[in-house]
Amino acid sequence: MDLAFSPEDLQFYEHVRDTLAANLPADIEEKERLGQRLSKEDMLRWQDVLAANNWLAAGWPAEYGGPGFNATRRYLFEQAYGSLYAPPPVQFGITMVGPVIYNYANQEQKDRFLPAIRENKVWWCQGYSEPGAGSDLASLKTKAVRDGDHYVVNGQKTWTTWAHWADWMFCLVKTDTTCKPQAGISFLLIDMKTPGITIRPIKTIDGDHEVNEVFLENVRVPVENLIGEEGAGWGYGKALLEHERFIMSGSARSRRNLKELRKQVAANSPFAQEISRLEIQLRALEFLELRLLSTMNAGGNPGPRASALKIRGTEIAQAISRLRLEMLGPDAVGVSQGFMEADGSLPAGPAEAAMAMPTYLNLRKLTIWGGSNEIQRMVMAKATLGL
Amino acid sequence: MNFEYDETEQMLADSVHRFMDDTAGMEKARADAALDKGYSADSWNTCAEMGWLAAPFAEENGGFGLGAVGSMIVEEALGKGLSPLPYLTSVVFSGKILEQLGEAVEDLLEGVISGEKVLSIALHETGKGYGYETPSTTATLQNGEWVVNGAKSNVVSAGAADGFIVSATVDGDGFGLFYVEAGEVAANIREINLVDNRRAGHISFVAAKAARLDEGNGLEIFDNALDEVLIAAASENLGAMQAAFDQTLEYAKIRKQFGKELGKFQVLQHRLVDMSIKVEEARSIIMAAAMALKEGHEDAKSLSRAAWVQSLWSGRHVGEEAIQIHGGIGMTDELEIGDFVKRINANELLFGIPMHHIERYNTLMA
Repeated sequence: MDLAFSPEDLQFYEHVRDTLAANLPADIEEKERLGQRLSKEDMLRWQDVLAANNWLAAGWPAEYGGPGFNATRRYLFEQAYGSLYAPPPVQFGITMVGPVIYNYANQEQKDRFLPAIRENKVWWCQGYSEPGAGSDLASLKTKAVRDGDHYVVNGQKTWTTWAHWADWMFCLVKTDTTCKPQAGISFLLIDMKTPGITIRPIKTIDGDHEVNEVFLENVRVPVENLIGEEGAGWGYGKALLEHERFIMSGSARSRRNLKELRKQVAANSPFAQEISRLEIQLRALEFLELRLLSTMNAGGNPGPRASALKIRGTEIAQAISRLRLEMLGPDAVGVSQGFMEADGSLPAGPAEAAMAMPTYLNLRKLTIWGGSNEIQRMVMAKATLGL
Repeated sequence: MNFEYDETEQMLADSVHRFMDDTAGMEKARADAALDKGYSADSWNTCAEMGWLAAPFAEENGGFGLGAVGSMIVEEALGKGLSPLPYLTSVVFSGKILEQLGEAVEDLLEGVISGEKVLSIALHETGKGYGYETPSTTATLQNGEWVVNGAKSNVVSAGAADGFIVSATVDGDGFGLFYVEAGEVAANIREINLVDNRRAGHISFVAAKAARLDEGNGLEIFDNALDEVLIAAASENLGAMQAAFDQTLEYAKIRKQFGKELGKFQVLQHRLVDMSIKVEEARSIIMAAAMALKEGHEDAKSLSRAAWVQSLWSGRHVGEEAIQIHGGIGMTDELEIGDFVKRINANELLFGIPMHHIERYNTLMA
């Protein structure tokens, strides 16, 4: 056993951190620090920086044009990135549809879609959830009926993050309603410009518009947009959920946020006790993450044990956002505010308070999406405890 | 970065776990606790012969050089086996204080490593909680010799110990560490049973002849030793909570109510998952803390406290849930579950509650 990273790995960490820090536009960093909303243009501008270093699709193997990091480097990359006030990249292309395409698509599809994802040319959204199919995803109803060289898609998707900014949607659809639910699901790529698609915004509790309802009426999708086998989509979708879990602990950003909170209190403040309690939990999570990585480096597969990272990582991130509210107290109650000094000027500090409540509210999503934490527990009960 | 045991570490873990599987467990622990010493002298001899007492010490001091990783490995097995052996207090606490003191205490350390001497640490004082830094016990120089006066409570394995490391306030010189031979206080030890099959004693030191161990740096020496004690004790908690969890999971798979196994009820599945995560979190941070201390990382001190606190949170959660999921049978003295819970709770009270250590953690992180 040894705890230290190799000097080469540490150099890599510093290289990533310094490169990203040097190229992070000041206005974007400021928005991220204050928890303010980023525009589509902001995100694309930042993702162009990542893409220029071939770090947008950071988890991709070299074979598909990614940087081909091993597990340790992948972890260190996330740690370096997460230590900065740099917006996380939009996941749908790079960690969700990308891996499905390079694992299950045909060569023509790989050539067509992968470079555009890697190079930040196409914005993807995810068409999984439906009004009647949330955690019970297999009960989805959106139907795709074959008509010559097209599928005709009818149905409704929901919670579609940034559908209003997206160029393409990857979608789970029913191509067979006669067999058991999981078996009749196919994985389809849909151009958002196709006639028959209507997007309706959903305003969320934080006052933001991130998610949408997407209605599909007689949307004609060319059959060449089907990934893999008809009826095999459930398996592809499930495989990529596991892919997600490592990144979903969010430990690096939690560490950054907690560090910021500690700067604001004296060691003997009661808040320092709370910060330490969260930090100890966070360290336990970080070392669990490293231990699973170590298993991977030794040739093992942590499998569903990685669900623990999603469960605890999201719980801790939420608890930090809650503690931040408590520390700000009444300063955080207003969501549109400009504090004033006695001389009428606007102070710099409390500007940070304005987004604390919306951030807290927004982060409630963490334990719901990406396979709710209850679903993660079900997965672990079955696969790791044998229940 | 590598969390896998190397060959030596694996061998140590295998041998001590095998020994515990063969010789430990609730029945044995309870029987051993009733022996004169409060533990089995045969088992202690085996520990010495197998080199487990030497595992955490540097090679130049007659050890195997495994440091905190060594004591962590041994303690996990002792916790799983509910062992009352005085490893924590004699080998880790006393041994790690002596190891910092050099030649002056060479013989004493040799005795601890060979198992010929069992030492204990006299730290607690009634009603003082964890106010270690300001003992009411005093040490004074009389005719060029140190004498210790005061009352210490809950000294683990006091009846079996050959000598005690005693914390005392030195007139005008603050905190000091002293060594007192057992013979000095033999008549003044009142033995008690701890809640977890270990024995301890309240000791009254009346002008007890003593040797001073530190040179004014007693608190630092004590605190350094505590780094490793907390990791080792956390690992003992880990062994106990892992076993409590394993037994609960097994029980949930066979116990039937309403026509199906407990483990088929989702409300219990989720709780069992949470228990398993608590165990894994504790295991991860304890391993990291042991490596950090062994390798001399700058954050080893804060990590040792963090690992200890996490072991208490996890241990309490897992222990209480283990009783609850077992139901009525979990309340009986017939299962090991209760003994695991008692061991974890006893360690918590002996080595410090979360609030106490988090306070220290705050100052380390500030």
